[in-house]
Formats: sequence, structure tokens, C-alpha cells
Amino acid sequence: MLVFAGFLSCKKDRNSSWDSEYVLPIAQAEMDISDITGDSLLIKNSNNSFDLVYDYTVAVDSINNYLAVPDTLQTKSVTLANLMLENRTMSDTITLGEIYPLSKLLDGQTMPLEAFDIKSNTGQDIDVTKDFFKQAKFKDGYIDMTLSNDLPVEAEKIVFVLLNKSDQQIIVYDSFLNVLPGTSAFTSKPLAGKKIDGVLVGIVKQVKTKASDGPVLINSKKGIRLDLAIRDIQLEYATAVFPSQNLLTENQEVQYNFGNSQVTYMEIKSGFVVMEVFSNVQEEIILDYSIPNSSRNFNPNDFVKQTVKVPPATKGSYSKVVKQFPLDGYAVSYKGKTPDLPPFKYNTVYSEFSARIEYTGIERTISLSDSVFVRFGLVEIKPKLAIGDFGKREFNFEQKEKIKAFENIKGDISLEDVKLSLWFKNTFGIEADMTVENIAGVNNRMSKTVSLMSSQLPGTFTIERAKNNPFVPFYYPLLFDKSNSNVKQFLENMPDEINYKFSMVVRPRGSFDYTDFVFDTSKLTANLRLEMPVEFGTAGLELSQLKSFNLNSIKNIDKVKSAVMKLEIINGYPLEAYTDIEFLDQTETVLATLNDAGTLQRAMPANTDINGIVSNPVTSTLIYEIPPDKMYLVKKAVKIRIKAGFKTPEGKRFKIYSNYKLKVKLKGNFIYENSF
Amino acid sequence: MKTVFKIFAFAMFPIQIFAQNNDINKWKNFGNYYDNLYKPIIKTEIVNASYYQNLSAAGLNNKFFYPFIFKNNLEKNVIDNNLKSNKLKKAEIETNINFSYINLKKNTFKNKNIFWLLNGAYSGRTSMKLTNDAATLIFKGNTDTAKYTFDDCYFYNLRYNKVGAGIFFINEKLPKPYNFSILVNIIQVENFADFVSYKNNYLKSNEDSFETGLNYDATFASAKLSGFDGMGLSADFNLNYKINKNGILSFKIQDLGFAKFKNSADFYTSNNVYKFDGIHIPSISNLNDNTFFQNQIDSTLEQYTNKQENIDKTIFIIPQTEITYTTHQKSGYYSAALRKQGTKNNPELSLRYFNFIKPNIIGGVSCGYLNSIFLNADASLALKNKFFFQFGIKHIEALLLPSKLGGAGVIAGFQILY
Repeated sequence: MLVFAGFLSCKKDRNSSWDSEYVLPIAQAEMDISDITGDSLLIKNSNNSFDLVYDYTVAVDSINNYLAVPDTLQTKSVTLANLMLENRTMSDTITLGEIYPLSKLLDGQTMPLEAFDIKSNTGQDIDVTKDFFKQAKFKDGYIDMTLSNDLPVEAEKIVFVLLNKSDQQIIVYDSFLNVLPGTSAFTSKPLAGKKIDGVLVGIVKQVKTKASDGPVLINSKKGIRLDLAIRDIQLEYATAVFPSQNLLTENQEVQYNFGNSQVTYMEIKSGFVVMEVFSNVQEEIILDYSIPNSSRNFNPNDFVKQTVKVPPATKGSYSKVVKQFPLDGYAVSYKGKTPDLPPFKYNTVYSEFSARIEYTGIERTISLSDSVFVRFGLVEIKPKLAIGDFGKREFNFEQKEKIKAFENIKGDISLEDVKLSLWFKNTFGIEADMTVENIAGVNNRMSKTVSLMSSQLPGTFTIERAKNNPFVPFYYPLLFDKSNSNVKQFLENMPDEINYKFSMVVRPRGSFDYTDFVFDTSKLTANLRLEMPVEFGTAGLELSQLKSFNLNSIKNIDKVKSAVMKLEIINGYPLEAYTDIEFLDQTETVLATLNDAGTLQRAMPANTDINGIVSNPVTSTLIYEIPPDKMYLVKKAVKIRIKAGFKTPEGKRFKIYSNYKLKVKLKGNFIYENSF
Repeated sequence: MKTVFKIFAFAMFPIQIFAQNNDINKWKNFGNYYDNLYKPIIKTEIVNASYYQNLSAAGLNNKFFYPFIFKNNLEKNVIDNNLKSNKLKKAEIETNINFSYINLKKNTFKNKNIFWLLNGAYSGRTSMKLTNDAATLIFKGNTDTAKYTFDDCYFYNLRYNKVGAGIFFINEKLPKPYNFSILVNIIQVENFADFVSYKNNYLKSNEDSFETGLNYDATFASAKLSGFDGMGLSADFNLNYKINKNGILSFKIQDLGFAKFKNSADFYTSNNVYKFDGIHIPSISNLNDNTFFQNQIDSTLEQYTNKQENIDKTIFIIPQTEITYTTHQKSGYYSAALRKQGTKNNPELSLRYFNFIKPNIIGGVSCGYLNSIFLNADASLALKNKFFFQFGIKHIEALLLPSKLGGAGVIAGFQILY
């Protein structure tokens, strides 16, 4: 067993294998010129020939150069400006029975009542918790006291004291003389600086009455009636049920920094009002924020206004609310509180902010030292339209634009005709003076540059501002063809890069009364269009493209030991074509080529009639053998360079038509190593 | 001869051989055959290790199989020779490594006739049937533009490990004594493959296009020994019954059970005709995408396979069954057996003669039919009734005629009594 196990373990990393030969179609494609150029670049003419059109647009100037709206937040930390209670009253009675307890024995009897003079230091609790407050310290206000004599005899003297039950602080201490039965005496005392509890003590220090003139009805439940009222109250603090009231109001103008720009009006595409509130007020605070000089959909009543409710803080802590309201679609005046009145203002937003409480019926403790911290303002504002004066600016513009269509092409090309249009489009409501310094086509493969030369190229010219209401952009066109410029040579250079160089002065002649405008889509663009009929000749044009390559990404490809590839080409173009693939390592050293060294198989051009139009396609079969040693190198390659070469018979120019096709079919015969 | 030598070397492994004899003296040296009703049971403990491997083929010769056994390259001329005939290509491969222990000294359940036993094994079964066209596609390729058909083909592969415990019951005192054993095993299936093709499977191809008719089902599942996937249960049952003075009837059923795969089985199916004339490249820009071809290959293959991957699957294991009749005559012992391997193949029919060459050596020869006629030989050796060796060789006919016949196998066994 051990011997056998050892034998198996020696063998287990090896598999039995055998080679099979498989023939299969691999891929097929039908291509026309649009596959190379892209459909968008081709315009088909009525005779089925093509014009090749390249469009490039370069943004010379954009809104970011004019208007970046910074987030602007204000912070306010305020204590309450006012704290008030409405006028309140209450009534209480100190009965005869309480003043003169013996009277309870005579209750209901009609009899003469003797004079009495009772002095006392004990009083009776008067609870104003429900009617007034639980506790309050007064900044201002008055307490009015009316003593009504409900005794059946005249009170010669009543000395009355009202004091806090808890700390015995005297609120009112007064004497009332000769109060006839059924009449009242009145006194009023200031409350400023006083602290009053909700439970008071009323003490009738002395009641001196005259004897009755005859028998009177003794009613021990009647006595001295006390009516208390507080009025004109301003509080320092209180524990009470508070009425609705404004706590603070802030109306202000804030000037924004827009750099060089002076904005008077803005339509907001997106953005927010942010309100972040911290409050230690033990009552719900209602914050109102508004921008009166704003509107939406041209409705002045629909201005920016938002309300935030801040819940009551718990004692010793604070409550926090952060809210964000969208401003999308609002138009805001940046001319301050009174846009139509001097002095003229810009970049200035007028806003109103207030804090208030509403009646809740719930007892709260509020102090003038309670505070509310608020951060509010406008953030992430993206304007849709801004009007104003955006300042004078001068700048040079230089840009290199890659022309992908030519970047992989080498050789020569002869073009029948070519046109180049250059036009400037201004959608800013701002005027500019433009100077075209240079437009150069650079062939980096050949290190050759051709600058566009034309009598049509002006020196400095004015790009007028666009018009608004209705919006009309401004265009400045320039047209070059082979009659007025060197544009044919410019293109035959096959530039892979076009260099633009412009200089510009924006708003060169001062403000148009702050009526310049920018939209969020505003641009000043230089637009270039190359148009040429697809009619060319070449004595040798080679396309080359370097690509990454990993044959091993195809499953089981490692088992392919060798192959014979057959490329069947049905050529409907009047072009002779060849192709080769270089298989490269990481350093781009050639490991192998698809064609054997020194051989280059070619697909023959389609046959043409006397007018140079293809009469019938020609089929060519190119065979590439990949023996095991070459297959090994192909599998090692990490890059490939695909080369395709073309030439027209005798270098003559041919027009390319839409019905020209190139059909390609790739077949393979593989030796595949199976294993088990 | 070199190949024959390799096969013999291959054969030096244990297997348990059964034999019956009513002559107690003859069998007294072979206490390892505890279930042999030709002799009384010996109170002992037995440890057994055995190995069995057998390949039986039709339509393919041993020159074709040797590269698979010895991990060599399969030469083109060998392939061509085997594909000359249009016969079906069939192969059955069975491997079994078994360890067991039985304690006959100590009865269990307070019953003198019941003993407990332990068993552990690795088993593998592979069964294959291919049309000549299918074999041509696999081993040669599709260079011929003729139509290749591969209806009614199959490939079945099952490999599993098991550990189990059970009881051995014997009643020797009856006029017709019998014994039986029952085992319950925990099994883990390491690998399972079940491919079946039905009607209308073909390939017509040339370098321009493929037309493929596919009508098949295939299930594949595998589990690692270290994981808990592919687990299941199985049962084994063995019965020996002495029906007359000389004759013993035996019946065996092994590995009747199931195993479950959780999210690890793959199922493929198709019943359609497909045409393929190369990957269509809709735009030249697709060539810039390194994954384009692989994605196209994947989506093309997806049509052919309709694959459902990582699914749950419960496998019912086809049990191995065998019925044998053995009789003792003056000239020796003869047995006839009918055995079903537990795959999709036809049963194996065999006839065997064995006898005592010496008191401690038994020799045997057998012939039969499984895919083709086979000839086997075996021997059993006892040393002091303590150590026992068995060895045998299967398909002698194919080893002698490797370019005409296909088949090979070894049996080997070793036991210790104490």
C-alpha cells in the first residue's frame, strides 16, 4: 500500500494528455468607413458619397470666471429682549369669622354688634399660582389692591400686609381708614425689583370697627374682600403660563462678496436657506426668517419665508434644530432693503429674522438671561441668472486640442477639397474684444506644424453681448477654404493636435447700467468645423495603434499549442490593404509578428470602373501560421501594436460611397492539448 | 512484457477473497474469513486492509488506457487505432480502499451471536459510454466535415469516503447456518458527475460554421474533504446462507444512501439546435475591449449549457449489489456471481474456481463478462493463522493482448488476527 501510495503521489501532479485538432470560425465583421470615423462624423450626400465633418468646440470663457457665490452665514447670539405677562386679577376674602372667631357663634342672628379692635400677626394664604404665576421677578409693573368692607359696620382702620409666604418679603403694607360698610378702599404699589411667589400671605394686622347703630345681621362668612390685580408687567424672569409674545427681532442687510462682480439681481437655480438654532429657553421658540425682496414665479407675495420651531430646552441644557430649505426657483434682489430708493446698493440682501413664543397653557420658567444662538444664511447658491456689472477682465487663452482621427496615421494623403469654419458664439450678456493670435495644426509624428493663414482672419474684433428677453446669442463667423487660405495644406499635414491662441478683453467699454447678465449656461465658445468630401488618394497610409493585450484572459487558451489562422477579406474599397500585429513585452520589445519576417500579405483592392467607382469587391485570403514557438511568444505578450496599411492604386484619389463594405472573417485551426 | 510487469507490480495490494469449504480442517489456517460458513467462527479480533481496482473496457484497448494509468501522453497512432472501429466505447472503473475491524472475542447486546464491527473506505466508480463520433471529437478533433453524432452517451463518476459501524450476526448451530452484517455509514462525496445525452446530439462543422444539436443533462458537484458539504448516510448489508451441505448463497448490497450538496452543485442542460459562424464584431471599437471576446464566448456557451450554478442537490447513490452461489465439489470450490457495480453499466457475470494448493495457500481463477470477456487469477496466503495476504490480477487477457483488448485490475489484501 505504501509503495503504491508513494507511486501515486509521484504521479499525481502529472496528467495524461493528448492533442486534438479543432477547426472553427472565430469572428466576423462587416465594416464601412463609419466604423473607423464614427457615424457622427459622416454626412451622406444624395449621391451616396460622404463628407467627413469634424466639429470641435472650445469654451473660451465660462460662468465660473464671473460668479462664484460664496456661502454666507450670519450668527446671532441674543438674550430675550422682552418678557411680559398680561394683566391679571384675582379676588379673596378674609371673613369675619377669621378675624373674630366668636362671631361664628352668632352667625345668622340679628343683634347689635359691638365695636372691636382686633390685632393679629397671623394671616391667611393667598394662592395666585394659577391666576398669576408660580414665581416672578419684576422689571416693571404694578400691583393694585382694593379692600371692600362687607362687614355690617364701619371699619375705622384696617391695616393690611401682603407678603411672600416663603421668604416673608413684604409686597404691600398699607392702612385703610373709615371704610364704610359696602364701600371699598384702593391702593397701588410698584413691583419693580420685587420677587413674588405664587403663594402669598395676607395678614389683617388690625381691624378696628365701630359698634353698630342697632341690630345687624351677623354673617361670619363675609368680611374684608380683597381684589388684587397686576398690570403693566415686565419680567426679569418668571415661572408661569406665558402669553404669546415676540422675544426678539433682527432686520438686516448683508453684503456678499462676489469678487469683482456687482450683482443686483439673481435667479437661483439651486441653493438653500440654512437655519441652525441652539436655545436654552424652556419654552418652544418659533423662528421666522424671510427675504422680503424676493419672489417666485414673478409673484411678490411668494417671497422667501421659512419658520422653524425650536422645542423647549430642558433645565440646564439646550435644544438644537438644524433646518435647510431649498431656494430653487426664487429670484432675489441684491439691492438692499429699499431697491428703488437711493443710495444704490449691490451684492446686498435684506432679510428679517424674529423669535417668538406662543401661548401653550403650560407653565414654563423663562428669564431675560435665557438666550438663543442662531446661524442662518444662504448656502450652495447656484445662480440661473445674475444681472449686474461683472467688471473688466483681460486674459489670454491658449489650448491644445487633440485630433484623434489623425493621431495614429502616418504617410501621405491628397485631399480633393476642404473647408474650415470658425465661429465664436457668445451667450453671455457681456461684451468682449477678441484677438485671434494663432491657429496651428501640429503633426507630432512628423514634427511638422502648419499655421492657418488667411486674409479672412481679422486682427481684433468685437464679440457683442447676447440679448435677453428674448434671449439671442451673438455669433461671429469666419470661413476658410482653399481659395482664401492654406486650409488644404493645413489638413494634408494630418495634424493630431490643433493649438489655439486668443487674447480677450471683457467689458472693455464700461458698464451698461448694471444690465450685463450671465446665465448658468453662458459660454463664449470658439467652434471649429472641418468639412471635406471623403475623396482621397494615398501612396501609402499606415494606421498604427498600441493596445494592451492579454491572450491568457481567454479561458483555456493556454492549452492551444499552435494554430493556423485564416483571414478572409472581401474588400469593397478601392484600397489595397495589409495588416500586421506586433506582439510586445512590457518594454515594447517585439516578441513576434503575425506575418512571418519579410512577408506581408495583402488584401487586394476592389475593382473599379472608369469613373473610379467600385464595380465588384475582391476576396483575398490571408493565412497566418502560428507554430508552437510563436504561440508561446504570443501568449507572453502584454501589448500589441496593430498596423493597417492602405494605398490607392497609383496613388489616385477615389471618392468613398456608402455602399462600400469590408467583410472580414477569421477562422482558425487549432492544436489543442487535452488532459485528464 | 514491461507493461505486464507494471500491472503485476500494480497488483501487489490487498483484497479480501472469500471462499467456502465444509472441510473444517482445510479452513483452519484461514481464521480471517470470519463470515465463511464452511468453518466455525474463531474468537479473535481482525484488522483488515484491502485494495481493489478494476478497469473493464469495450471498444478501447489497453494501449489506449496505459497513458491514463501511468500519466503519459496518449499518442496519435494509438488514438487512430482505437477510433478505426465504429463500435461503442465503454469503460467501467472501480476503485475501493477499505479498512475494517471486527471483535469476535466479545459479543455485544448480551447476545453471544452478535459482534460489532467498524469500517472505513474510499470508493470510486466511473462509467462511460461514448459513440465513436463522440470519442473522435474528444480525442481527435473535428477536422472531418462529416456529421458527428453522440446520442445515448453517458459519463458517470462518483468518489466518496465513508466511516461506519455496525453489527455482525452469526448463527452456526442451525442445520443451515447463516450470518449477516449491517453497517450504517457517514459518507462524504468528494466528486460527482453525471452526464447523459439523449437523441439528436450532433455536430456538423467546417471552418465557416458550426451546427450543433444538443439534448443532454449534466450535473457536477464536488466537495473538499475538509468541508462539510456532500455529506450523507449509507447502509451496507451482507448475508451468507448455507443452503445445503456444500452450497452457500451470498447476497450483498453496499452503499445504499444519499448525499446532499448545499449551493455547490452545477446543472447544465440543453435541447436545441445551435448555429455558430464566429463571434460577430458589431463595431471595430469592440476590439478595444479586452473582455469582449471572453464575454462573447461566455454568452455563446451559455446558450449551449443553460447553466444553473451553485444549486442545492441531493444525490441518491446507486448501491452495489451482488449475488453469489458457491459450492464445494471434490475437485474444488466453484462460485457463480452476478454483480451490479452501482453505475449505469450492465451487470458483471463471473464464474470462479478456487482450491487449496497447500494448507496455507489458496489459488483461484475466474472468467466472466463485463463489457468484454475477462480472465482473472488470485491467491491467498496464511502465515501461522495470524497474518494473511491476498493478491490477484484482473483482465489477464487484456494484459497479454494490450493492442486488442482493454482492461486491467488488481486486488490485494492484508489481515492481522490477535
